[in-house]
Amino acid sequence: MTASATIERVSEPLGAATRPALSQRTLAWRQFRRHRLALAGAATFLALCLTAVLAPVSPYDPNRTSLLDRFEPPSLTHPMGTDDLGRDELTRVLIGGRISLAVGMMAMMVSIVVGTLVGALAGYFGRAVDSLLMRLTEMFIAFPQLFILILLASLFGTGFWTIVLVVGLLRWMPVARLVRAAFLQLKEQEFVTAARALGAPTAAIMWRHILPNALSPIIVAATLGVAGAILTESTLSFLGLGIQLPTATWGNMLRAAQNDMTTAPWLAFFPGFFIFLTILSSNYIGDGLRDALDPHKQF
Amino acid sequence: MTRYLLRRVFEALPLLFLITVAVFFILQLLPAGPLSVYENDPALTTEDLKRLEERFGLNDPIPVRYLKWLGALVQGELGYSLVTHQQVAAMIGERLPNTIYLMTVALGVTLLIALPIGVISAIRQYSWLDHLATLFSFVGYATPPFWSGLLVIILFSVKFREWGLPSLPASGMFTLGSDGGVADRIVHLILPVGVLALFNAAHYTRYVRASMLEVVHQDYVRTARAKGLADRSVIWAHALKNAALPVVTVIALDLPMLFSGAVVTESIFAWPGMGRLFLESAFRFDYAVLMGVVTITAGLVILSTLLADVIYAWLDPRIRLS
Repeated sequence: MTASATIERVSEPLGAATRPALSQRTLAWRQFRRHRLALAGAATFLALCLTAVLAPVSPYDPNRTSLLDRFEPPSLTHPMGTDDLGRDELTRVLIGGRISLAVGMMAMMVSIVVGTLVGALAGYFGRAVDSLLMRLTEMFIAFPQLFILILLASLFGTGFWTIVLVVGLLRWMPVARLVRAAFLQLKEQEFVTAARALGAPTAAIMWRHILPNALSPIIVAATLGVAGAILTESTLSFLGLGIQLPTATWGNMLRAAQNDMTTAPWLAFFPGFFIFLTILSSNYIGDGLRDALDPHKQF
Repeated sequence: MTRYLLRRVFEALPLLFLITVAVFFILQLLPAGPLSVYENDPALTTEDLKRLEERFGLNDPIPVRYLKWLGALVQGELGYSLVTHQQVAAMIGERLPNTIYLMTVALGVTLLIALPIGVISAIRQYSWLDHLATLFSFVGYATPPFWSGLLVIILFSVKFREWGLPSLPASGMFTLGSDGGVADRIVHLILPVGVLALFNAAHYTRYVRASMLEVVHQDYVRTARAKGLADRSVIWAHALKNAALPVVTVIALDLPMLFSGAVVTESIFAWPGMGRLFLESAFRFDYAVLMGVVTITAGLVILSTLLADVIYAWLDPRIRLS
């Protein structure tokens, strides 16, 4: 970040004669556009979000059962077939996407907030604070997370916000490490010393001066974090510990499909395919952002 | 070397202690405490529950109970299941080897896939092979094991049987009622191991590639080439040994993830392992078993990070000597 800022400043007089200087954001966007798979990922992800939001437009009610239409294979009236209770699979997949995507994004935000807070405090204050917080981080990393998730989900129930918190609170560690590393390096820079010399309060130095310079790795971690959180949420649902039926989520639909693998194999395909698309597209977006926000790659 | 290892052991013990404390206290948050198992049993009156509480010493303050549990643990006792009334240690002893068996084979297969792919895509960087390997890892990473598990069962067990082709078994470690011969066991391994290996290899291919890329441009690799060593021995002996260092660390740090993957795989393929024991116990609030599984798993994870340190020191003389 700082390296690119310096380069930009140096190159400005040269570039100014021929074309206007470009902002960081424009440069990042130009780089991102060149990553074709990342663009395709962004388009897919947007489409997934849009269809999830527009799901109620479907002529079918996701929870209305119709025993005459059980296990209909994919057809023109039911593009993804119907399930064991005659509900339209496509409608349920789209409605289920709302829960999965919302849990994924909310949980990601929880983990970004916690991770940034822990990492910033550890990196900025160093010494005892740092070693205490880093031991805590290691403890969370050393532990088979799914075991704790199962434990917490079975103890605290399976409401939307419980799942968001439980998933989010177990995924902040990589963020904390990234932010700590960035703070360790940035706090030694001149602009921080200058801010301190001017009498800026510690909180302002941390959040207003250092944090904006550490945003790139956080943004990349956030994008990849959505994929991870959706994977975790659907794993929990699949094991029967996530949000409960009849509310559809991709995970619990796959769980239900387990019973009908011989009669209705398509039920095991579609919800999983949507998880696959979501994770694949957000990983490609993350990959593209990593390149776009990496100052070494911009020139 | 011995001193280094001793130091690592002493660093690891407080971690294990903290994990058990945390889990013990979380378990006390159950609405009815450890007796939740009996809560819905109509045969038990409130007085019965009181008497049970008395008998199990559940009226003591939580820290006292934790210390009692810890005291028993030091003597190798993990208590009794409230559901099956078996010894927890015996229940775990029965399941743990099955999980380790599955995980070891899966890890072996994972490395057999990830090492060659990672190395080849590093030495042929940006070739079509490299792009194909990248695609493989993105796809593998986005395929959740519970989905690929269902798909392979549908294809190789259900459909193959329908089509009259030789099908693969979808559950258990061996055919029930048979003597469980070697061939039978291997056939039962194929699907669960395949699913785990696909998912894990997707990650490891990237690590191997990245770590190999750093190594192949080093001076000693050029020296080895300049001395006239065959390309094959330069890459697979000189470079790979050094590239393996970070990969070993990654695998050690990933062990918790591998254990988690085992929970899902064991649940899909009805594998009688520890992950499934944990899941079953979580559903019926079998607190002693949960506590036991958590402690043993945490212990194993810490033990394997230590093992990674040993392997690391063996691979890298600089650590061994300092």
